[in-house]
Amino acid sequence: MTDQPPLEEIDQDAAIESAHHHEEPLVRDLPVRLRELIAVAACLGLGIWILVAGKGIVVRGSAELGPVFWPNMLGAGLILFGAVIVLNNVMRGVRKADVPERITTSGLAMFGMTMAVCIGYLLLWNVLQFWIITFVALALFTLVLGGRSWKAVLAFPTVTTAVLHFLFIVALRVPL
Amino acid sequence: MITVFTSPVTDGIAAVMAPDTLMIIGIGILIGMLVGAFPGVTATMAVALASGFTLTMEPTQGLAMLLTIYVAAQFGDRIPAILINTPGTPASIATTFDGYPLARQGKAGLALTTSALGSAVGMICGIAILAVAAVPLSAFAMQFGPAEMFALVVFGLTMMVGVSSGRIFKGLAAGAFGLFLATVGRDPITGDQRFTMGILELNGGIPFIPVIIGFFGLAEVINQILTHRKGKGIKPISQMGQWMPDGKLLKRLAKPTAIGAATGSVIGLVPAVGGDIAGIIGWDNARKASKKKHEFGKGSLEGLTAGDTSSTATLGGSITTTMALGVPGDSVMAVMIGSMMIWGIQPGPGLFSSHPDLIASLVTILLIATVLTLVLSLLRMKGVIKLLELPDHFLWVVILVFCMVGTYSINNSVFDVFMMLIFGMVGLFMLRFGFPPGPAVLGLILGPLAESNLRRALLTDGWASIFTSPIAVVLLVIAVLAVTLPPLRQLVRRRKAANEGKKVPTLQP
Repeated sequence: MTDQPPLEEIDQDAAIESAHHHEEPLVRDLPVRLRELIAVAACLGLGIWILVAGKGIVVRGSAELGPVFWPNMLGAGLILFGAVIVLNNVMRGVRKADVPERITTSGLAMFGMTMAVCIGYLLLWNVLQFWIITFVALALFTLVLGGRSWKAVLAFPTVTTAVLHFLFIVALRVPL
Repeated sequence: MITVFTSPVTDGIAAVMAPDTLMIIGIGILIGMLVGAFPGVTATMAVALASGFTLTMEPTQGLAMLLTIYVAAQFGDRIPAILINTPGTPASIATTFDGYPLARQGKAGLALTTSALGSAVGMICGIAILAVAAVPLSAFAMQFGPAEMFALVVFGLTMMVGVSSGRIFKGLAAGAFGLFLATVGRDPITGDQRFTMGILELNGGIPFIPVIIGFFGLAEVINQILTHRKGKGIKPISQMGQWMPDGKLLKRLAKPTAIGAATGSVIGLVPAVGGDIAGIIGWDNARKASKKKHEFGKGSLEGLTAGDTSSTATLGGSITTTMALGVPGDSVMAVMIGSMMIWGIQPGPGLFSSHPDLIASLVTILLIATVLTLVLSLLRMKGVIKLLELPDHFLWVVILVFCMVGTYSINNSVFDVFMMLIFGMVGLFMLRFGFPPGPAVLGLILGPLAESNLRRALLTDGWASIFTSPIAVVLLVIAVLAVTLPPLRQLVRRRKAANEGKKVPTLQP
């Protein structure tokens, strides 16, 4: 199973062409090329960081084929792949299927609030009892992600907390 | 006195037939069907989330849960593909070609049952391959030394990268990133500390289950939240029509079923080529062989059956290569390898020598799961339609909380949950910028094996130890071809088209 996200609208011809590695139209506009440059920067940045940080590894004994050998190979590999992505994706263009769906403003707001609830939940994990903090976190998650009715904000968190409590604490004996 | 004959086969079957294991299979079927039925929750995501709470189980029970979820998701994902034209998981892309047109013609019931029957036939063909091929393949791989093992890991990684059509170089970069993550912690040979940044918890390496849950669970759900648009959903088709196919129809579907089973069985043995690609190729093969080609894509039961049979037939081959070679057949199997390693089971050559009962257990789990899921799929379930109308936020919340609680339950460690959140964000970056997460997870899991075997081979006889081994050379040549052939073929086609004066397809002038 490849890791492409499920398709919302299925283009039969495109799917068959893709499965058979046939030629597909390429997108070459500027925003897409700039986006690809970020991917290149990530590869180059990580590759260079591995090579630099590798020099800081304290090696006991023989250095030949020692602990730095393999990370250096990987760092160099990442730099090479970054360079190839410039040629293949930035200059040549990318398939339409590889251009991700656009982020929405409401999605960005929901993401920010979700992460805030996640961090708060984690920080209070060992402070409050599991069922209390989980119920509150579930209600907040539901609220920020669009649930407004009493069923969504009260009944759903209650049932889910009970299921989690039964599964993890009663059945699997996890000390939560 | 009653003499009881025991053998690895009977031991393996008995382990699965224990009441608690059967109960776990039942729960796994329900989870898998639900997972499949919800578009946006992939089988990989479900197995990654389940790995959080199965690690505390006995290995047989844990395997039963994970494999059953995988099997049942292959049935459940056909439901949204047929009723709302959205594949529940990528494996049911081909189902949408004919499934939705059939549903629009008022034949949704017939489409759902024939799809389930085709999926069950495909699954049973795959299980037969597992039963027959796994042990001989594993015995052959027992001959492998360090050079061959290194080549095998490279082969597995590149095969997973090679199927990421159009994203080969990003796939390679993702694989290298995963291999780098595996270097964090102590060196596997000398024990020297590497890239721990002074964090004590990283001395033992980056824990891979939090990474897997972050990549496949959190990253996916956050991406769905970021791209959410109101009123995007399609109302499911509720007119089911005829439910069970008659004998005449079943006879007509025998040929496309056979084509699908043959296609999927062969494709499944190629590591990393999953049900999505097999389903499409099986559907295309059946179309070429059909007398009613014009019906394909417009509501053909033959097309639906061929695609679904082919898609599920890959499962057996995928499990075979995973267990016998340690090379995951798809990303679900990559996740499963992670769980198995924590249970102390190392998939790969020698697995069936150290656990001779395992193959019987695997086959029994898969057979029971297939039969029970088929029975469940043939029931006329009106509730499924209600399920498809459920708002997204309920699903997102459940996944988010399961990501966090599941990760915590592995080691009772808040640090692991932080790691999951960090790698969730890394996974989100990878999703948004087109780096497939599968090779990264595979690199993380197989990294120590690749590094230690390469260094051992090089210390023995330099690079000659790799290039004088025929098996290693064959595996490396296939690996190189897997990543170089697709772009080269495209380049040649492009040149040819340009020479013939044809316009090379682009979306921009």
